Amino acid sequence: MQKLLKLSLLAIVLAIAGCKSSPSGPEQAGAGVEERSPGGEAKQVEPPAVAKVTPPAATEDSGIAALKDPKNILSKRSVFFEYDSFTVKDEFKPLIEAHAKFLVSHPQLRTLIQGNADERGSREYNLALGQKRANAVKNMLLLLGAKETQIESVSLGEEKPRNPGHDEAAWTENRRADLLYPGEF
Amino acid sequence: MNPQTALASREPIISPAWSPDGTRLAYVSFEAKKPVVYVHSLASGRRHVIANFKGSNSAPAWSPDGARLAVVLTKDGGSQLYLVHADGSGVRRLTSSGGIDTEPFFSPDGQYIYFTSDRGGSPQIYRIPAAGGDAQRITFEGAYNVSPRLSPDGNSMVYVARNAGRFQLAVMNLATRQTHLLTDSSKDESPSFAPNGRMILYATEIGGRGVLAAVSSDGRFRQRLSLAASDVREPAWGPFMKF
Repeated sequence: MQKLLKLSLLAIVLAIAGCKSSPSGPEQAGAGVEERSPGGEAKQVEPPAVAKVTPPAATEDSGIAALKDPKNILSKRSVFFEYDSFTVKDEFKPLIEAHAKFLVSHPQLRTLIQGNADERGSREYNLALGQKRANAVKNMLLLLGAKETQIESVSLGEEKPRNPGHDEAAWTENRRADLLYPGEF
Repeated sequence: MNPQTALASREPIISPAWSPDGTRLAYVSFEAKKPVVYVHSLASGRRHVIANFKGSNSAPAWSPDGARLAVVLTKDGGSQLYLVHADGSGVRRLTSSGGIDTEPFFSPDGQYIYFTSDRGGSPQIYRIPAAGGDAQRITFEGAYNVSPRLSPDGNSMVYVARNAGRFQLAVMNLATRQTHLLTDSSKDESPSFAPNGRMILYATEIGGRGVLAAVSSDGRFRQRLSLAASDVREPAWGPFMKF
Protein backbone atom coordinates (compact mmCIF):
# COMPACT_ATOMS: atom_id res chain seq x y z
CA MET A 1 0.00 0.00 0.00
CA GLN A 2 2.84 2.30 0.89
CA LYS A 3 4.26 1.64 -2.56
CA LEU A 4 0.97 2.48 -4.18
CA LEU A 5 0.75 5.74 -2.28
CA LYS A 6 4.24 6.65 -3.42
CA LEU A 7 3.39 5.77 -6.98
CA SER A 8 0.33 7.90 -6.75
CA LEU A 9 2.58 10.90 -6.25
CA LEU A 10 3.14 10.57 -9.96
CA ALA A 11 -0.52 11.09 -10.56
CA ILE A 12 -1.72 14.58 -11.12
CA VAL A 13 -5.04 15.34 -9.66
CA LEU A 14 -7.14 18.25 -10.65
CA ALA A 15 -9.08 19.11 -7.59
CA ILE A 16 -11.88 21.40 -8.53
CA ALA A 17 -13.41 22.36 -5.27
CA GLY A 18 -17.03 23.35 -5.72
CA CYS A 19 -16.21 25.96 -8.28
CA LYS A 20 -19.15 28.11 -9.18
CA SER A 21 -18.73 30.33 -12.13
CA SER A 22 -18.16 33.97 -11.54
CA PRO A 23 -17.43 36.49 -14.24
CA SER A 24 -13.73 37.24 -13.88
CA GLY A 25 -13.09 40.50 -15.64
CA PRO A 26 -12.34 40.87 -19.32
CA GLU A 27 -11.22 37.57 -20.77
CA GLN A 28 -8.74 37.46 -23.61
CA ALA A 29 -10.51 34.78 -25.56
CA GLY A 30 -7.86 32.57 -27.07
CA ALA A 31 -4.78 33.28 -24.99
CA GLY A 32 -1.42 33.02 -26.71
CA VAL A 33 1.64 31.92 -24.77
CA GLU A 34 1.50 32.84 -21.13
CA GLU A 35 3.66 32.79 -18.06
CA ARG A 36 1.59 31.42 -15.24
CA SER A 37 2.73 30.61 -11.76
CA PRO A 38 0.63 28.39 -9.53
CA GLY A 39 -2.42 30.34 -8.46
CA GLY A 40 -1.02 33.54 -9.94
CA GLU A 41 -2.37 35.86 -12.53
CA ALA A 42 -1.77 35.07 -16.15
CA LYS A 43 0.46 37.46 -18.06
CA GLN A 44 0.01 37.64 -21.79
CA VAL A 45 3.34 37.60 -23.62
CA GLU A 46 2.34 36.76 -27.18
CA PRO A 47 -0.68 37.37 -29.36
CA PRO A 48 -3.18 34.56 -29.94
CA ALA A 49 -1.77 31.68 -31.96
CA VAL A 50 -4.89 30.01 -33.33
CA ALA A 51 -7.69 32.11 -32.03
CA LYS A 52 -9.63 34.61 -34.07
CA VAL A 53 -11.61 36.79 -31.76
CA THR A 54 -14.35 39.11 -32.82
CA PRO A 55 -14.76 41.89 -30.29
CA PRO A 56 -18.20 42.24 -28.75
CA ALA A 57 -20.45 44.74 -30.48
CA ALA A 58 -21.51 47.89 -28.67
CA THR A 59 -24.05 47.25 -25.94
CA GLU A 60 -25.66 50.68 -26.20
CA ASP A 61 -27.78 49.47 -29.10
CA SER A 62 -31.48 50.01 -28.47
CA GLY A 63 -32.11 46.38 -29.39
CA ILE A 64 -30.24 45.29 -26.29
CA ALA A 65 -32.92 46.69 -23.98
CA ALA A 66 -35.38 44.22 -25.50
CA LEU A 67 -33.02 41.38 -24.56
CA LYS A 68 -33.32 42.33 -20.88
CA ASP A 69 -37.02 43.23 -20.81
CA PRO A 70 -38.84 40.48 -18.89
CA LYS A 71 -41.98 41.20 -20.92
CA ASN A 72 -40.13 40.56 -24.17
CA ILE A 73 -39.74 36.99 -25.40
CA LEU A 74 -36.11 37.90 -26.26
CA SER A 75 -35.34 37.91 -22.53
CA LYS A 76 -35.98 34.17 -22.57
CA ARG A 77 -32.70 32.52 -23.48
CA SER A 78 -32.90 28.87 -22.45
CA VAL A 79 -34.01 25.90 -24.52
CA PHE A 80 -34.48 22.67 -22.54
CA PHE A 81 -34.07 19.15 -23.89
CA GLU A 82 -35.24 15.66 -23.01
CA TYR A 83 -32.80 13.00 -21.81
CA ASP A 84 -30.41 11.92 -24.56
CA SER A 85 -32.26 14.18 -27.03
CA PHE A 86 -31.19 17.04 -29.30
CA THR A 87 -34.60 17.80 -30.76
CA VAL A 88 -35.90 21.30 -30.13
CA LYS A 89 -39.35 20.86 -28.61
CA ASP A 90 -42.29 22.77 -30.13
CA GLU A 91 -42.71 24.90 -27.02
CA PHE A 92 -39.30 26.53 -27.65
CA LYS A 93 -39.85 27.31 -31.32
CA PRO A 94 -41.42 30.78 -30.73
CA LEU A 95 -38.38 31.70 -28.60
CA ILE A 96 -35.93 30.66 -31.31
CA GLU A 97 -38.01 32.37 -34.01
CA ALA A 98 -37.91 35.62 -32.02
CA HIS A 99 -34.12 35.42 -31.66
CA ALA A 100 -33.72 34.61 -35.36
CA LYS A 101 -35.79 37.67 -36.26
CA PHE A 102 -33.73 39.78 -33.86
CA LEU A 103 -30.44 38.56 -35.40
CA VAL A 104 -31.74 39.23 -38.92
CA SER A 105 -32.68 42.80 -37.95
CA HIS A 106 -29.35 43.34 -36.14
CA PRO A 107 -26.82 41.87 -38.57
CA GLN A 108 -23.89 43.34 -36.61
CA LEU A 109 -24.82 41.35 -33.47
CA ARG A 110 -23.32 38.02 -32.57
CA THR A 111 -24.73 35.34 -30.31
CA LEU A 112 -22.93 32.59 -28.40
CA ILE A 113 -24.98 29.44 -27.87
CA GLN A 114 -23.75 27.37 -24.94
CA GLY A 115 -25.00 23.78 -24.81
CA ASN A 116 -25.12 21.84 -21.54
CA ALA A 117 -25.64 18.27 -20.39
CA ASP A 118 -26.60 16.60 -17.14
CA GLU A 119 -23.86 15.06 -15.00
CA ARG A 120 -24.42 11.41 -15.82
CA GLY A 121 -21.68 9.66 -17.79
CA SER A 122 -18.39 10.65 -19.41
CA ARG A 123 -17.38 14.32 -19.25
CA GLU A 124 -16.08 14.47 -22.79
CA TYR A 125 -19.08 12.58 -24.17
CA ASN A 126 -21.33 15.00 -22.29
CA LEU A 127 -19.40 17.88 -23.82
CA ALA A 128 -20.27 16.44 -27.24
CA LEU A 129 -23.93 16.02 -26.22
CA GLY A 130 -24.07 19.68 -25.18
CA GLN A 131 -22.57 20.60 -28.55
CA LYS A 132 -25.33 18.69 -30.35
CA ARG A 133 -27.92 20.72 -28.42
CA ALA A 134 -26.19 24.03 -29.19
CA ASN A 135 -25.91 23.01 -32.85
CA ALA A 136 -29.64 22.17 -32.97
CA VAL A 137 -30.48 25.72 -31.86
CA LYS A 138 -27.89 27.22 -34.22
CA ASN A 139 -29.21 25.27 -37.22
CA MET A 140 -32.72 26.49 -36.52
CA LEU A 141 -31.53 30.11 -36.33
CA LEU A 142 -29.72 29.64 -39.66
CA LEU A 143 -32.81 28.18 -41.31
CA LEU A 144 -34.73 31.23 -40.10
CA GLY A 145 -32.31 33.63 -41.77
CA ALA A 146 -29.54 34.40 -39.26
CA LYS A 147 -26.02 34.32 -40.71
CA GLU A 148 -23.32 31.77 -39.94
CA THR A 149 -20.94 34.61 -38.99
CA GLN A 150 -23.39 35.78 -36.30
CA ILE A 151 -23.51 32.51 -34.39
CA GLU A 152 -21.01 30.43 -32.49
CA SER A 153 -22.25 27.23 -30.88
CA VAL A 154 -20.12 25.75 -28.11
CA SER A 155 -20.55 23.32 -25.24
CA LEU A 156 -19.95 23.51 -21.51
CA GLY A 157 -20.87 19.83 -21.12
CA GLU A 158 -21.62 18.97 -17.50
CA GLU A 159 -19.05 21.45 -16.16
CA LYS A 160 -21.27 24.46 -15.39
CA PRO A 161 -24.52 23.07 -13.98
CA ARG A 162 -27.21 25.71 -13.36
CA ASN A 163 -28.66 23.36 -10.76
CA PRO A 164 -25.92 21.64 -8.73
CA GLY A 165 -28.25 18.90 -7.46
CA HIS A 166 -28.02 15.21 -8.29
CA ASP A 167 -31.65 14.34 -8.99
CA GLU A 168 -34.05 14.29 -11.91
CA ALA A 169 -35.14 17.89 -11.29
CA ALA A 170 -31.54 19.13 -11.46
CA TRP A 171 -30.77 17.05 -14.54
CA THR A 172 -33.85 18.42 -16.33
CA GLU A 173 -32.67 21.97 -15.65
CA ASN A 174 -29.14 21.20 -16.83
CA ARG A 175 -30.03 19.66 -20.20
CA ARG A 176 -30.14 23.02 -21.86
CA ALA A 177 -28.82 25.45 -24.46
CA ASP A 178 -28.49 29.17 -23.60
CA LEU A 179 -28.31 32.11 -25.99
CA LEU A 180 -25.85 34.81 -24.93
CA TYR A 181 -25.30 38.22 -26.47
CA PRO A 182 -22.29 40.58 -26.38
CA GLY A 183 -21.51 41.69 -22.86
CA GLU A 184 -22.83 38.40 -21.50
CA PHE A 185 -19.90 36.18 -22.43
CA MET B 1 1.06 12.80 -0.39
CA ASN B 2 2.34 16.17 -1.34
CA PRO B 3 0.12 17.62 -4.07
CA GLN B 4 1.37 20.53 -6.15
CA THR B 5 -0.89 22.89 -8.00
CA ALA B 6 -0.07 23.13 -11.69
CA LEU B 7 -2.77 25.63 -12.58
CA ALA B 8 -5.44 27.38 -10.57
CA SER B 9 -8.48 28.78 -12.36
CA ARG B 10 -11.96 29.83 -11.34
CA GLU B 11 -13.34 28.17 -14.45
CA PRO B 12 -13.38 24.40 -14.92
CA ILE B 13 -10.42 22.48 -16.33
CA ILE B 14 -10.99 18.98 -17.68
CA SER B 15 -9.30 16.14 -19.56
CA PRO B 16 -5.68 16.44 -18.39
CA ALA B 17 -3.29 14.34 -20.52
CA TRP B 18 0.42 13.83 -19.82
CA SER B 19 2.90 14.11 -22.67
CA PRO B 20 4.79 10.80 -23.06
CA ASP B 21 7.99 12.37 -21.62
CA GLY B 22 6.13 13.71 -18.58
CA THR B 23 7.16 17.34 -19.10
CA ARG B 24 3.93 18.75 -20.48
CA LEU B 25 0.25 18.53 -19.74
CA ALA B 26 -2.51 19.03 -22.28
CA TYR B 27 -5.93 20.00 -20.94
CA VAL B 28 -9.21 21.72 -21.71
CA SER B 29 -9.97 25.03 -19.99
CA PHE B 30 -13.26 26.93 -19.95
CA GLU B 31 -11.81 30.31 -18.99
CA ALA B 32 -12.80 31.74 -22.42
CA LYS B 33 -16.48 30.77 -21.84
CA LYS B 34 -15.96 27.83 -24.19
CA PRO B 35 -13.64 24.82 -24.21
CA VAL B 36 -10.10 25.57 -25.48
CA VAL B 37 -7.17 23.11 -25.54
CA TYR B 38 -3.86 24.16 -23.97
CA VAL B 39 -0.45 22.54 -23.63
CA HIS B 40 1.29 23.48 -20.39
CA SER B 41 5.01 22.94 -19.71
CA LEU B 42 5.20 21.98 -16.05
CA ALA B 43 8.78 23.09 -15.36
CA SER B 44 8.46 26.58 -16.83
CA GLY B 45 4.76 27.21 -16.23
CA ARG B 46 4.47 28.40 -19.83
CA ARG B 47 1.42 27.33 -21.71
CA HIS B 48 0.08 27.82 -25.19
CA VAL B 49 -3.18 27.33 -27.01
CA ILE B 50 -3.11 24.40 -29.39
CA ALA B 51 -6.78 24.47 -30.44
CA ASN B 52 -9.12 27.43 -30.21
CA PHE B 53 -11.30 27.20 -33.27
CA LYS B 54 -14.88 28.34 -33.68
CA GLY B 55 -17.04 26.00 -31.60
CA SER B 56 -15.71 23.59 -28.97
CA ASN B 57 -12.15 22.28 -28.65
CA SER B 58 -11.56 19.32 -26.35
CA ALA B 59 -10.33 15.80 -25.50
CA PRO B 60 -6.56 16.11 -26.17
CA ALA B 61 -4.58 12.83 -26.49
CA TRP B 62 -0.83 12.59 -27.16
CA SER B 63 0.75 10.43 -29.83
CA PRO B 64 3.35 8.07 -28.29
CA ASP B 65 6.22 10.11 -29.80
CA GLY B 66 4.85 13.34 -28.29
CA ALA B 67 4.88 15.10 -31.66
CA ARG B 68 1.14 15.26 -32.25
CA LEU B 69 -2.16 15.31 -30.43
CA ALA B 70 -5.55 14.02 -31.36
CA VAL B 71 -8.24 16.56 -30.43
CA VAL B 72 -11.98 16.94 -30.85
CA LEU B 73 -13.15 20.03 -32.72
CA THR B 74 -16.58 21.22 -33.83
CA LYS B 75 -15.38 23.83 -36.31
CA ASP B 76 -16.99 21.92 -39.19
CA GLY B 77 -20.24 21.01 -37.38
CA GLY B 78 -20.43 18.08 -34.97
CA SER B 79 -17.73 16.75 -32.62
CA GLN B 80 -15.09 15.04 -34.78
CA LEU B 81 -11.49 13.83 -34.37
CA TYR B 82 -8.59 15.89 -35.75
CA LEU B 83 -4.80 15.57 -35.54
CA VAL B 84 -2.65 18.57 -34.74
CA HIS B 85 1.09 19.10 -34.18
CA ALA B 86 2.08 19.73 -30.55
CA ASP B 87 2.58 23.44 -31.36
CA GLY B 88 -0.97 23.78 -32.68
CA SER B 89 -0.05 23.80 -36.37
CA GLY B 90 -1.12 21.49 -39.19
CA VAL B 91 -4.69 20.61 -38.21
CA ARG B 92 -6.00 17.63 -40.16
CA ARG B 93 -9.43 16.00 -39.91
CA LEU B 94 -9.37 12.28 -39.08
CA THR B 95 -13.02 11.15 -38.82
CA SER B 96 -16.12 12.03 -40.84
CA SER B 97 -19.23 10.71 -39.18
CA GLY B 98 -22.62 12.35 -38.88
CA GLY B 99 -22.62 11.83 -35.13
CA ILE B 100 -20.34 12.30 -32.14
CA ASP B 101 -16.71 11.17 -32.29
CA THR B 102 -14.75 11.95 -29.12
CA GLU B 103 -12.36 10.72 -26.40
CA PRO B 104 -9.44 9.75 -28.69
CA PHE B 105 -6.60 7.65 -27.23
CA PHE B 106 -3.54 6.44 -29.17
CA SER B 107 -2.50 2.79 -29.05
CA PRO B 108 1.04 2.55 -27.57
CA ASP B 109 2.49 1.64 -31.01
CA GLY B 110 0.90 4.79 -32.48
CA GLN B 111 -0.91 2.80 -35.19
CA TYR B 112 -4.48 3.29 -34.02
CA ILE B 113 -6.63 5.84 -32.29
CA TYR B 114 -9.36 4.39 -30.07
CA PHE B 115 -12.37 6.66 -29.53
CA THR B 116 -16.02 6.90 -28.48
CA SER B 117 -18.69 7.36 -31.14
CA ASP B 118 -22.48 7.27 -31.32
CA ARG B 119 -22.43 6.51 -35.06
CA GLY B 120 -24.14 3.17 -34.41
CA GLY B 121 -26.98 4.74 -32.38
CA SER B 122 -25.45 4.45 -28.90
CA PRO B 123 -22.02 5.45 -27.57
CA GLN B 124 -19.54 2.63 -28.27
CA ILE B 125 -15.77 2.33 -28.63
CA TYR B 126 -14.20 2.21 -32.09
CA ARG B 127 -10.69 2.48 -33.48
CA ILE B 128 -9.34 4.10 -36.63
CA PRO B 129 -5.84 3.93 -38.14
CA ALA B 130 -3.90 7.04 -37.08
CA ALA B 131 -2.99 7.49 -40.75
CA GLY B 132 -6.72 7.63 -41.60
CA GLY B 133 -9.09 4.97 -42.95
CA ASP B 134 -12.14 3.06 -41.85
CA ALA B 135 -13.28 2.88 -38.24
CA GLN B 136 -13.75 -0.54 -36.66
CA ARG B 137 -16.17 -1.13 -33.79
CA ILE B 138 -14.58 -2.62 -30.64
CA THR B 139 -17.37 -2.83 -28.01
CA PHE B 140 -20.72 -4.52 -28.58
CA GLU B 141 -22.11 -5.44 -25.15
CA GLY B 142 -24.42 -2.89 -23.54
CA ALA B 143 -25.71 0.50 -24.70
CA TYR B 144 -23.04 2.81 -23.24
CA ASN B 145 -19.29 2.12 -23.45
CA VAL B 146 -17.00 5.15 -23.30
CA SER B 147 -13.56 6.55 -22.29
CA PRO B 148 -11.17 3.93 -23.76
CA ARG B 149 -7.59 3.79 -22.38
CA LEU B 150 -5.06 1.19 -23.50
CA SER B 151 -2.53 -0.59 -21.29
CA PRO B 152 1.15 0.29 -21.91
CA ASP B 153 1.70 -3.10 -23.63
CA GLY B 154 -1.31 -2.46 -25.87
CA ASN B 155 -2.91 -5.80 -24.96
CA SER B 156 -5.87 -4.58 -22.96
CA MET B 157 -8.28 -1.67 -22.85
CA VAL B 158 -10.00 -0.21 -19.81
CA TYR B 159 -13.22 1.75 -20.33
CA VAL B 160 -16.38 2.91 -18.59
CA ALA B 161 -19.52 0.81 -19.12
CA ARG B 162 -23.03 1.68 -18.00
CA ASN B 163 -24.81 -1.24 -16.37
CA ALA B 164 -28.36 -0.65 -15.13
CA GLY B 165 -27.67 3.05 -14.68
CA ARG B 166 -24.33 2.53 -12.93
CA PHE B 167 -21.06 3.63 -14.49
CA GLN B 168 -18.35 1.04 -13.83
CA LEU B 169 -14.88 0.21 -15.08
CA ALA B 170 -14.51 -2.73 -17.45
CA VAL B 171 -11.44 -4.19 -19.10
CA MET B 172 -11.18 -5.94 -22.47
CA ASN B 173 -8.49 -8.30 -23.66
CA LEU B 174 -8.00 -6.88 -27.16
CA ALA B 175 -6.80 -10.22 -28.61
CA THR B 176 -9.74 -12.32 -27.40
CA ARG B 177 -12.24 -9.43 -27.03
CA GLN B 178 -13.26 -10.88 -23.66
CA THR B 179 -14.42 -8.33 -21.11
CA HIS B 180 -14.94 -8.25 -17.38
CA LEU B 181 -16.02 -5.65 -14.84
CA LEU B 182 -13.35 -4.28 -12.50
CA THR B 183 -15.50 -2.31 -10.05
CA ASP B 184 -18.88 -2.50 -8.34
CA SER B 185 -19.32 1.22 -7.69
CA SER B 186 -21.67 3.45 -9.68
CA LYS B 187 -19.97 6.70 -10.66
CA ASP B 188 -16.57 5.64 -11.95
CA GLU B 189 -14.82 7.81 -14.53
CA SER B 190 -11.50 8.67 -16.18
CA PRO B 191 -9.53 5.41 -15.87
CA SER B 192 -5.82 5.46 -16.66
CA PHE B 193 -3.21 2.68 -16.51
CA ALA B 194 -0.10 2.93 -14.34
CA PRO B 195 3.09 2.92 -16.44
CA ASN B 196 3.74 -0.70 -15.40
CA GLY B 197 0.24 -1.72 -16.50
CA ARG B 198 -0.62 -3.37 -13.18
CA MET B 199 -2.84 -0.71 -11.65
CA ILE B 200 -5.61 1.46 -12.97
CA LEU B 201 -6.24 4.85 -11.42
CA TYR B 202 -9.75 6.28 -11.64
CA ALA B 203 -12.16 8.72 -10.05
CA THR B 204 -15.31 7.64 -8.27
CA GLU B 205 -17.76 9.02 -5.78
CA ILE B 206 -18.16 8.01 -2.15
CA GLY B 207 -20.69 9.74 0.09
CA GLY B 208 -21.33 12.44 -2.50
CA ARG B 209 -17.64 13.33 -2.76
CA GLY B 210 -15.28 12.71 -5.64
CA VAL B 211 -12.40 10.47 -4.58
CA LEU B 212 -9.36 9.00 -6.23
CA ALA B 213 -9.22 5.22 -6.35
CA ALA B 214 -7.05 2.49 -7.83
CA VAL B 215 -7.78 -1.08 -8.88
CA SER B 216 -5.39 -3.82 -9.96
CA SER B 217 -5.75 -4.60 -13.65
CA ASP B 218 -7.15 -8.05 -12.81
CA GLY B 219 -9.79 -6.43 -10.57
CA ARG B 220 -8.69 -8.30 -7.44
CA PHE B 221 -7.49 -5.33 -5.38
CA ARG B 222 -9.14 -1.99 -4.95
CA GLN B 223 -7.90 0.96 -2.95
CA ARG B 224 -9.30 4.38 -2.21
CA LEU B 225 -6.69 7.14 -2.25
CA SER B 226 -8.29 10.00 -0.42
CA LEU B 227 -7.36 13.64 -0.46
CA ALA B 228 -8.31 15.94 2.35
CA ALA B 229 -11.45 18.02 2.11
CA SER B 230 -11.85 18.39 -1.63
CA ASP B 231 -13.55 16.79 -4.57
CA VAL B 232 -11.21 14.83 -6.82
CA ARG B 233 -11.99 14.35 -10.48
CA GLU B 234 -10.29 13.12 -13.61
CA PRO B 235 -6.94 11.70 -12.51
CA ALA B 236 -4.35 10.80 -15.15
CA TRP B 237 -1.39 8.62 -14.26
CA GLY B 238 1.86 10.19 -15.44
CA PRO B 239 4.50 8.31 -17.44
CA PHE B 240 7.86 7.02 -16.18
CA MET B 241 10.20 10.00 -16.32
CA LYS B 242 13.17 9.61 -18.68
CA PHE B 243 16.20 11.71 -17.79
